[in-house]
Amino acid sequence: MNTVACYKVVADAQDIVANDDRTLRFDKASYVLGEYDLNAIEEAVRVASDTQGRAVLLSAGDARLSDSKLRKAALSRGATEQFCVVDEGMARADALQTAAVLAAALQRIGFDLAFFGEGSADAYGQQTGALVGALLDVTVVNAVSAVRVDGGAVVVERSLEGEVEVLELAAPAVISVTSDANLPRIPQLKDILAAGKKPSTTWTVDELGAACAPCVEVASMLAPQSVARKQVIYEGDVDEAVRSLAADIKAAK
Amino acid sequence: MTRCENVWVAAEDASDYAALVAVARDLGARVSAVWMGDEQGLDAVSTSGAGAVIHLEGGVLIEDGAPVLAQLAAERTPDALIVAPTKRMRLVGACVAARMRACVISDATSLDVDEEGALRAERMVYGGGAVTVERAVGAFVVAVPCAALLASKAAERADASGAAGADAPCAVETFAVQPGSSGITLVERRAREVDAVNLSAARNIVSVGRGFAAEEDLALAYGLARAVDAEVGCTRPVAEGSKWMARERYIGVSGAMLTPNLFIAVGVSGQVQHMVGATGAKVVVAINKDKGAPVFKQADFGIVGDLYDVVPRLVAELER
Amino acid sequence: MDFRKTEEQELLLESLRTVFERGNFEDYFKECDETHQFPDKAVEALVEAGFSTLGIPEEFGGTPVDILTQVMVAEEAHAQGYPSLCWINYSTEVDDILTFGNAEQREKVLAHALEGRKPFTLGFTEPQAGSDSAAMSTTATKRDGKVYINGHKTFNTSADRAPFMLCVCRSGVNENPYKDFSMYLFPMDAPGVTIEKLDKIGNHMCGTYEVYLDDVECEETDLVGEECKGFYQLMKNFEVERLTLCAANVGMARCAYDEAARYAAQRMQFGKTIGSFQLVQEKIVDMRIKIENMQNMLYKAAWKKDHGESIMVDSSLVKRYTSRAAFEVIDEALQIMGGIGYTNDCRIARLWRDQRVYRIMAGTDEIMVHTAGRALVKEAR
Repeated sequence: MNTVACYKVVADAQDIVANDDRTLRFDKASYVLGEYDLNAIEEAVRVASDTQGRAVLLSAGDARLSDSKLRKAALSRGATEQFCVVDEGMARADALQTAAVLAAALQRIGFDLAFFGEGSADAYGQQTGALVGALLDVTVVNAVSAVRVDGGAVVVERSLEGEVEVLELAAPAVISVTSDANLPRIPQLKDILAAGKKPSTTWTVDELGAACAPCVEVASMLAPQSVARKQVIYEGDVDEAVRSLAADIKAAK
Repeated sequence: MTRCENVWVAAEDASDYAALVAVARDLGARVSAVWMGDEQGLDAVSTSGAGAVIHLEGGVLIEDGAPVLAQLAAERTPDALIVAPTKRMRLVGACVAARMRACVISDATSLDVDEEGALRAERMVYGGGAVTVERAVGAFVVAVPCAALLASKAAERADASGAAGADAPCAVETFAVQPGSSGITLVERRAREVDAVNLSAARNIVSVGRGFAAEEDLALAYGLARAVDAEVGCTRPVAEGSKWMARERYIGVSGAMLTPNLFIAVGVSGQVQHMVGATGAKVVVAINKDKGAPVFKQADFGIVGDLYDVVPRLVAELER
Repeated sequence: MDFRKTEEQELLLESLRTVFERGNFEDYFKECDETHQFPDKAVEALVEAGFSTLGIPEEFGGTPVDILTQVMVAEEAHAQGYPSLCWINYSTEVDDILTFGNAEQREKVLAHALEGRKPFTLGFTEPQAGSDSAAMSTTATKRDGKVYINGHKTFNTSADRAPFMLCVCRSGVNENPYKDFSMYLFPMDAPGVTIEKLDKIGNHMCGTYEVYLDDVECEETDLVGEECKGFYQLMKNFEVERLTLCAANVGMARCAYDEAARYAAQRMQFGKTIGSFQLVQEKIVDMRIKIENMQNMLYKAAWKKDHGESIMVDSSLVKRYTSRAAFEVIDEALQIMGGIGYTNDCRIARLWRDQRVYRIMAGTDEIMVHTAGRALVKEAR
């Protein structure tokens, strides 16, 4: 099975600073691979390896996507090749616009199974994989916690709120995996060194003919309202502290 | 003035419709309820307060109905589709969105209509580190209210219509669904091993962090939860890394906005993504052996101490 | 001068930090320190992530990498709290055997090293021969086609766990000790080998032993390299070993500094954080200066070695400086922690006990003056 794993480069949430007026500063933020996307990459690589297929990567973003360290970070996880759609507009693209770009790229790349994380690490809309599959008019499923390829049959386990479904999918298929699906590997030095030598192809949105109108716009993004907490912290004698805290808890209930 | 005049709602569980319809009506809309389940649920759906029901029947899987629903939407051009926050419905919602050249606003903590009549939503991003206001700019949008929003609408609705009883049933249109049209074949369904838990409905929550050394020690947390009548949740490393609790018990995954009365963080360091559940809590309590743990800056009350020492004593004191 | 780490180094260090994040080892190390257990769980995690293969040639299953990167990795691990004397990388031991050992010896050593297991304990120091290595008196005597080792080695790291000993012995051929040492590789479970644990004040996770060698029988093929060339053979890698050792100094200092700085930023006394008092700020500033200096000196020496320059003097300077500066940093960190710094609940207490030996082990501060001093004066002539 030839697989493609889609990933997004996002600002590390821990580096975002809130100003006094709740506006946000990203200037100190380092950019990283979305953490849920690591599961998609791991699954794509594993399935390809189990079926003697090829696993490649796809991402759409602005110029940051071409950063050499991020490239190596992505390619040190087992895929053989990387495809990027680089376009300044991607920074403001909504999920539909992103999905349209990824769908067009996937059509060019060709795949049996395309993998997405459950959601992007920043917006966590939990929809890009589903949108892409629907745009491509192929089998699409989410919440997948296990994938098995038996002969040519793709069988997945899907973890839903009240039950687990075991489903057989007609390929080609787009699968969004949960973070339960696997434990992403820790890249070793040999993987990191090899990553620098793997091929990378870059397209623009125009080249793919994938531009489309937005559906949703972000009117504002602010730090959450901070709630002033009392910060009454007890130290010292445990019994006394426990008595005080128990009283506070009883009062709160 | 609203551009959300004609809104469809959809869920897997018939009991979600009363709340969904309330959410849609607040936008100023005429509401049609889409039901993809069986005849049994149809009654509850048709008396949920919707103006009409679109019943899709014949699919083996709900997913089989997505193409038909998308086609209907393309023909009838509703302004929005609001779906319940379940995995299946997120998938269905996205399929319809794609067909309509639209996308989804997921886990909205509020939904209304702005000055220009466009659908507007607030939601959390960056693992709880930021809050956005988003608005629909196209002709159609799909929105998923977060569990807390739906729960509060359900409560409102129950209060309001308590004496009046269910709404009058509305007209039902039925459409046939092709089984297998999703490309997915059901092999088997089995119940989850772990009990489902709905943290967003919990009045009080005890959150377990990495301060717990072994799985057996979670009994301490469960003991505390019993003493304060709380549900137990945990941070992601505890659920995913150690796999001590089911994923529904994670606190801190985007979209799981919690508004408990009391939130007790035990052995939780207080990183932003683990405290998302606490920001909406009325009272936050923290127990941690590290005086410098960020959690104490986000707590109303707390004890610096070893949880193995503090929790049993606290439980004893609470039960006195 | 480009002081940046390469992207590969940054990614490798990120992978290392991920091992520690997932492993959550702080409590585990505390427990192992209390119970004098080797931190096997942490070793396994690091080996699984490939860190024991660094610096071992590719044809043997390793990943070749420069000394500077190896040193950065060792430093970072110790900065994350990894205990000293337990490091999982044995590339210099492997190189010793690949250079001087026979095929059978290589196979044995490689198998262990690739799994992060110390392949052999070095039999060098003796009760009467510490800094004065010429005074070593363990003998290797040939008799009836075999070789018999007799003597008493001490301060053997992990003699309880290492499957072999690489023992430096007098061959009885030359008067000049340095021209008379031969190295033999024999199993620790050979008859005649007994070990007795030393009761150290720190580095409890790793056992250190006296080893008694009572007519231990070896084959002539257990000789490593050439007879009487043992001392010079060891010279090949001792500088790199010394730098890796110094990386532990830097790492431990950083670990202590990080904890103390965090504490200074939040511990309140007299209505302010103690970090707002100038005397505490002075400590922090001077600690930071020492860490910078240690890193710069260490990295430069590693860089020089990677580029074929002699570090004969540099390695002594780095050993002396990092051993002393790290001790000072850790000691000040303990001071900043105040009372709790003196309890075993505080990680700095362990670092304080563990790091102290580095001013003695693998070349005392004073011997470093002796080796570097003469060379420096000579250089100035």
